[in-house]
Amino acid sequence: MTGTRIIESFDKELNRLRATLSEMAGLAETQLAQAVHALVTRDNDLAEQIIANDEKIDQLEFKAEKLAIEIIARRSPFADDLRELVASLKITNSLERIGDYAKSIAKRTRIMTEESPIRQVSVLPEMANFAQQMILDVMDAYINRDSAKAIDVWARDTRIDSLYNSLFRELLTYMLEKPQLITVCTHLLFIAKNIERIGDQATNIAEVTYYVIEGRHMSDDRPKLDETASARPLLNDQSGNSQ
Amino acid sequence: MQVIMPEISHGNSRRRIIPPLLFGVLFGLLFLFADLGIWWSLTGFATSLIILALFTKGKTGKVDRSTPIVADAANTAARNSAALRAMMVDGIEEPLILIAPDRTVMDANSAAKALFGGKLVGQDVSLHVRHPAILGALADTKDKALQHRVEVTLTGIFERIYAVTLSRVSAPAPASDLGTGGIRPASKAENFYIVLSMHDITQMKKIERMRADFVANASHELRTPLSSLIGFLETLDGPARDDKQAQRRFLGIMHEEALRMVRLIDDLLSLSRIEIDKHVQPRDKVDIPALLSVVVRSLEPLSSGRQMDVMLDLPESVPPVRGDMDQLRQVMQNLLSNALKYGHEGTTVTIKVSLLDRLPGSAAQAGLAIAVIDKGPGISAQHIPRLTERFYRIDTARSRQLGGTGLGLAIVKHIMGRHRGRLDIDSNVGKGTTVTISLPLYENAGSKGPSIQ
Repeated sequence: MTGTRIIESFDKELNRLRATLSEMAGLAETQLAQAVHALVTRDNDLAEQIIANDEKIDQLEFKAEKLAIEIIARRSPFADDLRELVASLKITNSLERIGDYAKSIAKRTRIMTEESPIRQVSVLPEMANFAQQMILDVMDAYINRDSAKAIDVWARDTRIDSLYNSLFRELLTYMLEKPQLITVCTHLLFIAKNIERIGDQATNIAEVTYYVIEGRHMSDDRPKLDETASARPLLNDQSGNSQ
Repeated sequence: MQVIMPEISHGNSRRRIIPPLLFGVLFGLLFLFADLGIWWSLTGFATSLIILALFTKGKTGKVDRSTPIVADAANTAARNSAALRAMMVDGIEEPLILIAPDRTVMDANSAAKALFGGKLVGQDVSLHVRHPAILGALADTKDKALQHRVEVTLTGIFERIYAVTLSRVSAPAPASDLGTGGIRPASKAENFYIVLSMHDITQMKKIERMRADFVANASHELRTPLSSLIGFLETLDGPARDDKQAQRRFLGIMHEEALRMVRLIDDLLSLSRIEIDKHVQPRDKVDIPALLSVVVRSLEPLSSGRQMDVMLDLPESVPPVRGDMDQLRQVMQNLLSNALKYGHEGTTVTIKVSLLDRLPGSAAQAGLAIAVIDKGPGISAQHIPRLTERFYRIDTARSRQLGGTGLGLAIVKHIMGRHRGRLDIDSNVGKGTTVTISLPLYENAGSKGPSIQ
């Protein structure tokens, strides 16, 4: 009788931890969406609000860490449970990073609104939407113990990467043509890079989730498409169809 | 529906009889020990029985005295009405979730489970509903006001905007003996639940946003032909006032430009029409081979002008797909005219139709793939993800020269999204481009389709 009661309350504590992670993911995801929205609509007030909201993510991180450490200290869990607790610490860390990237986008928005608007901003909502879906799906995978979904999220990161590559090249070319736009374009590049990093964090969570569920690491190297390390501006790009 | 059933109190009436019975026996014994004789003690016992009878009449009389048939009928009726109510709630297409003050989901209807996953019931609501605005409103509804309304955008392949209402409802009285399925409150202090209901306002919001988008995107595109028209008008009215030959030439160009504006406006209008309906999956039966031959015929002037052939590669029998005839014709028209415009002169464009056991992205739904294969310069990989963006062009000058509006593939993407189909572009620089659309078959209409990528 006492045995089952202990397990019950242990489960309750684990569930509280999971709920905190889930809430944190929701907040991080919304921060990203709002940050990009503020950038596209040139809404400085919203940007300020996002910067202020980051505090909430930090508080949730603190709460989740405290819960996890308390459980480890009092219950000395092993096997699955220990794996999950360690994973939850890693996941909170990734989610907190995602929040930071969103905050950084909001900070750059303040500078972007001082300059004249540029058209290339329009790719960002699509990139952000991909990243948001990755966060949503990876948290679903974690909470519903769905390792197939974790693999799916993990493999999806290449799409954000290729959008980032395309934007990178375009901006490089654009900066050559119009040096007066270098400030805006550089900030835009960093913003796009932030979203790309958010995708990376989501794949990290996917890896951790897979580890929690299956008890072993994903074996293959993650497909990577970020080739901007060797990119040059496009000058005479004549290839291809257009429509 | 999965109602968390209360503990129906079977033992209740028995438990209520025991104290007066004990009291009676004690009372009897007291009289006996007080040496008042057996008669007194029996009288005491009888008195206690009378008290017992009165007690049971007051408390559980209804159940005990009514005949079993009537009780059963009442039970069945009550159960039926509860079941009917559950069915009714389940049939409501707006997501509904019943939440306890400790955030545990007590119940959810099918729409809510479809949106947030089937494991909702019995778990903490924040495991599945993560939007901070909803969770914030939930906390406020619990602690402060009786009702809250928030507007949230949920992440998905298409964003969905919901008006979410959270309202406090007081929990019904603790389980009555009728067993109507009354719900146990979480604790005595918090004798209420919170109902979360969601109303999809995506379409309303999209229409609002569309107007602003139209002005932003289109004005630039419309300006180009317009400024050329104005330029020619000024020339006609000035230097070329008496030059008949130049006038004829200019009028020709102006006609072309005006037609381009019409095309652009047509494309923009059809894009907005598709956008409005994009969450409504079409239901008609469409015969693909017939549609393809109409499209091929309509583009004959273009193909013969560039000495190109269109080859249809069809399997023996092609089952109908589920779709909107006019929109699918527009899709094929756009894809084929792209292939004819950008393919090398004198080459063949192939339209290959094949059956799919499993639509890409779906669980096990059969579908039909239509590939348009051209032999042209091909598209380099960095452009491919952005081809469906509005007004995205690889080479602006060439696109203009060929009369493109910059909206063709955007229209295709949106139509495929509405059809729960998929658009894939695959290209080899120097070899050619293959654009494939996949559509769900008509026969498995109604099942959930895959999503456009």
